[in-house]
Amino acid sequence: MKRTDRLPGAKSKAPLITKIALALLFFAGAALLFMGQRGREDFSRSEYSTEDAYRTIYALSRHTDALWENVFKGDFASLGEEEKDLRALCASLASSLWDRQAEGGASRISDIFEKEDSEDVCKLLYPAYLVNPPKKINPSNRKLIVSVPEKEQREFRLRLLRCALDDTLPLPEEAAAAVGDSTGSDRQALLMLSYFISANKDAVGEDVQAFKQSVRAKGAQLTAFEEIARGKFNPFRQFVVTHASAVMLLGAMTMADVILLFAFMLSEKLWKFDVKWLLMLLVVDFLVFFQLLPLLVMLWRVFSVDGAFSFDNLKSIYTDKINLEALKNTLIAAFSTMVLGTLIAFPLAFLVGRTNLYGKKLFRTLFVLTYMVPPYVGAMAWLRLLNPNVGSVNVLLRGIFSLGDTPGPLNVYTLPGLVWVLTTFYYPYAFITISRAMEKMDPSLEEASRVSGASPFMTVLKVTLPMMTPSLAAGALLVFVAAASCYGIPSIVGIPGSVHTVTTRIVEYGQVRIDDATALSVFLLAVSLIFLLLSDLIPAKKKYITVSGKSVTPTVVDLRAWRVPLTAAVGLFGVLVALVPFATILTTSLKTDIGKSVFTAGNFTFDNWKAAFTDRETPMCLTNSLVYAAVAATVGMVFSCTMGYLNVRTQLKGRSIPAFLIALGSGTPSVVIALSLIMTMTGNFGVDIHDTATILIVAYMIKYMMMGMRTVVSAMSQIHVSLEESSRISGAGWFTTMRRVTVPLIFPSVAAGWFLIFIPSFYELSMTTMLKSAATKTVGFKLYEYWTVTSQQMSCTLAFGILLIVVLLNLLLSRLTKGRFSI
Amino acid sequence: MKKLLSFVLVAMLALGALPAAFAVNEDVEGELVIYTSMYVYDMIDEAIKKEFPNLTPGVSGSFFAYGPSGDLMLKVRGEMAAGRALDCDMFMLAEPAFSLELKEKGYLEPFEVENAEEILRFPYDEDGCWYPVRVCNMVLAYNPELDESWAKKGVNIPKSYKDFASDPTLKGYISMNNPKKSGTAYAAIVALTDKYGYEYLDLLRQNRVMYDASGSAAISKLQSGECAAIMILEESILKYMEDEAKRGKEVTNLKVIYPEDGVILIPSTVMVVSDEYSKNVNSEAAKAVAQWLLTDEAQQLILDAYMHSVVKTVSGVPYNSVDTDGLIENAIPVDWERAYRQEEEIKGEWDKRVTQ
Repeated sequence: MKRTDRLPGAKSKAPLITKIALALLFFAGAALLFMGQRGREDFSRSEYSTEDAYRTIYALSRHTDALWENVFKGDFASLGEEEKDLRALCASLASSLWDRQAEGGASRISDIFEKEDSEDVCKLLYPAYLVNPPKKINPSNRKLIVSVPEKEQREFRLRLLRCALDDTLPLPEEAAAAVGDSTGSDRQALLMLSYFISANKDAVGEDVQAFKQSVRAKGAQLTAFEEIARGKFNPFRQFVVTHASAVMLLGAMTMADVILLFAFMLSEKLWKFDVKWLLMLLVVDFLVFFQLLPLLVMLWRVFSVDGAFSFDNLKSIYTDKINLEALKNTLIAAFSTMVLGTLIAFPLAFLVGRTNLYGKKLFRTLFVLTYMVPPYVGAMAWLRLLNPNVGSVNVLLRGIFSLGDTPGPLNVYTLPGLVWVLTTFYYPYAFITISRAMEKMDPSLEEASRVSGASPFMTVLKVTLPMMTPSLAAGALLVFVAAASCYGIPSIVGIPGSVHTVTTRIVEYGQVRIDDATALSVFLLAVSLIFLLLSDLIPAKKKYITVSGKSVTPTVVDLRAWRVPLTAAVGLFGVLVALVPFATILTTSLKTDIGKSVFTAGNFTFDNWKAAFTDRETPMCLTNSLVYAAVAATVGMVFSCTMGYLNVRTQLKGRSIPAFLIALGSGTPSVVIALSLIMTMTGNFGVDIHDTATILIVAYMIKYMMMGMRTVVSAMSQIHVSLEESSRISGAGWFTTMRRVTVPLIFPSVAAGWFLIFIPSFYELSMTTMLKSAATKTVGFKLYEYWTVTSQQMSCTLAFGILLIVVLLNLLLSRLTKGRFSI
Repeated sequence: MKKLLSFVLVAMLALGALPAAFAVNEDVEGELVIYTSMYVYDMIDEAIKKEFPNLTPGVSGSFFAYGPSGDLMLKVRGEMAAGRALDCDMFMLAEPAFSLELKEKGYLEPFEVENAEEILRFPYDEDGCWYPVRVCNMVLAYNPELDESWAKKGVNIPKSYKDFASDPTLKGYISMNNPKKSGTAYAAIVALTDKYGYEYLDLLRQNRVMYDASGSAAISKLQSGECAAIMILEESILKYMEDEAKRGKEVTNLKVIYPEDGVILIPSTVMVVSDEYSKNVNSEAAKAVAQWLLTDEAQQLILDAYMHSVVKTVSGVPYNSVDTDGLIENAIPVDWERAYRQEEEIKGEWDKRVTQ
């Protein structure tokens, strides 16, 4: 039915239905919350150490029941008169086992034996023996027992039972080795164990291990065995108890989502489930659960002493002289890096993107190169170039200016040294963001300026620069946040010269006092929040629409007489910040002795390359890194695009919440993200992703998603909404408009954003060190392993390898997509 | 003939002993994960696989989960703070101070080592919660190839820890690991401040010591001539020397200085996590492996990994090193109780006197 079919004045029932649906959802959430709470109470009464216990016990209980019905019961009955004796034997063995486990255990058995059916005691012996046999049977003897042919098994089992009751009977051949020369109750125990093994060949160590893991306390084990034997489990109760936290969380989040949805609908007076809102809620839920909740748990530790709210932790940390110095250094370093980085990035982006400079493509690749290697590797290269004693640049300068043997004149182990290294590594963040936007800029405004008689320089100053404000702000923010929360560079360049930053202090604290580390990280969180708010304020004042049509070809500014000198200057900069450090990394990887020139006789070698790439762990680490980084980048970009669209294209109330959370994550020091995830994602809030690839991917997304989002937002903010509106007016739906208009226009930025998340995730170190397991080791950690203990040469080898992989990947995708898909 | 006879005897003994040992270790099963800060662990990993055929390593195929001691401690503290089980069943960490903490917090399961008192060169926990399993040796090192160049600059190569910190010619030319990141560097600071008082830290500051995050960074400073001497673990230099020798280099450009005022021996410990907190609830297997690590056979692998053995009956030394008992005689003692109880104070003094 078309909309026009509705009679004028007829009221739609949709709002009412929507409101009822919302109310129902809200109550469903409340019910889940209540059930989860009840489940929690049940769990805490059980004394089990983990909720997994219920799952394991339930599974073992069903298994035991099935065995009793299908095997034990029949076997016992076959013994005729002796069945009674066997039941008594089971009770006696169970008593003795119980007594060994806990004092008073035997009386507990006799209670069961007297009050309950003896069947329970016999059943009870099976799981108890499976988990804690009084005597062990080694694997080879176990193999003998299970080797009995299928047809003879029943007879074999009955013989075992009879032997347990009568020690004069000869043992079956297959069980003789297991029983050995044991006598008395030991012999009986081993025979019963052999019986159980034979009856249940499939019982594997995994069941036992799972049971032990979930029921750690011995007292609780007794209760567990009892519950298994009695098999009194209600599947629904078991589900609620085992998933209590998840059920509660689901309930709470459903309620919160409903409240948010209601607020959206109320503010827009639009009573329907808009897909945009649902998308936003999805992203918000992800961020709230994986980022905000862990951070709040950490913050609670900071602001609480013995469970009560207190500022004591903060006071002690923020009055420490070194910490204050570190705060000062961090602010100076991050601010200087931001200013310097943006001052470098803007002219470079302009020259490379908008002028007829020679070798623009080459320069473009050169300027983003430093983004493609781990910062700590770059720091190592700068250490070799600028250390005051024998740094190559210093040696050169001392030679040129005849300064003698005194250290210097440059010293990397200082605050300016730190700023320089940070700048060389983080200016590409601004360069990439600005140059993308510049390529998408509408040239008509600049052309108008030129036609009106303004010089190229004045045009840049009065037209280009203001139009670039959102991208400049986004780029600058990225540089600031990255520099402030960076650990690798200050740890290598700063610490040896006693230049501490907040991150180096956090890591030092974390090894002894985690709460102090968290208290210190509050500063970085606060700083990143302030910068986030500031950066949002700047573009909010004006509209900076720079793309108004699809076929945009920015005007190329002719540099005329400046073309050669500017090319030379840009080239010199490229050589200095990219080629020299990378050449240092490459030559170091080809040296035997790091102290000598690569050209010294006998010092040139490929051994490091051979060793690094034949290391048995390298393929696994490379694969892990590629997969984790690709997943983080892809999911991260889906979220970023969603948020970018909602932020720029809608007036949705609360649309800045996810963007705020994304920026908060980016400003959080890596070590804090990792610690908070370890503390909260281990099942205590219903999700256990500890030691899995998921926890690494989640951590990478939290840390680096802002790179993607900022790129998308800045690109989208430059595309006039009229383009989408014309598409909608022409009859295209929302998805078609996105597919045919918006996405093609922002695609290069999406691709750049993808890479901006992919690359740092690929070689990430700080979080990976803490979150990786033996199976989820990444190439970044491998490199760090080489760097810390093997040799600088090996780490440089892997670093150069990483660089080659990333560059090749970038080139390959660029080729495949005809230049549309690359940084 | 004598050689042949002794060979036959040894072979007979070995063949006789093998089935017995195998039978015992065959009973050990289940999964096991060991957190270690020992970098060269491959040989020991392989040996455990052979020795305990029914024991399953972690998902990566290795029993060992490696991390530099500082990073591992950070990870373990995070796991402890989460109030959950740890992700390992055993520890082989750098120094005993962390063992004292783990014991006090109830994370460790006591186990017995037969004749421990007679066979071990170093003290162990009286309740059996930790035993030394390898010895890291903190020494000084220099680059003999640059002797002439340093002499020209008037820089003296230190002979002792005292020289290292107090000889003014070394100002700006010395480096050590950051004690706030490295367990063994922290142990060294505990020993040196015990011997020379906190003034030793003032001297280090006066001599503008650089403190690095890693041994390999310090080695590169020595090779490049950025530093004249570094404080480093002997094993890093010995490994370098053997690697050089394997490359056919007769004279190495790095050498160990065994300080005249004594080396600092750090008996790295092995611990079994109690079932209440362990990953796989497999303390029996962990105990068996820990006990095996103190056998002569396993200790030989420790020597191959460039560390000294803790077992008296193992008389060999790591590649190109000196007699272990001789080192013990001249070692600067480390008060592990102080290292644990006064960690905050000692690291605070480091901050105050060196970092600021």
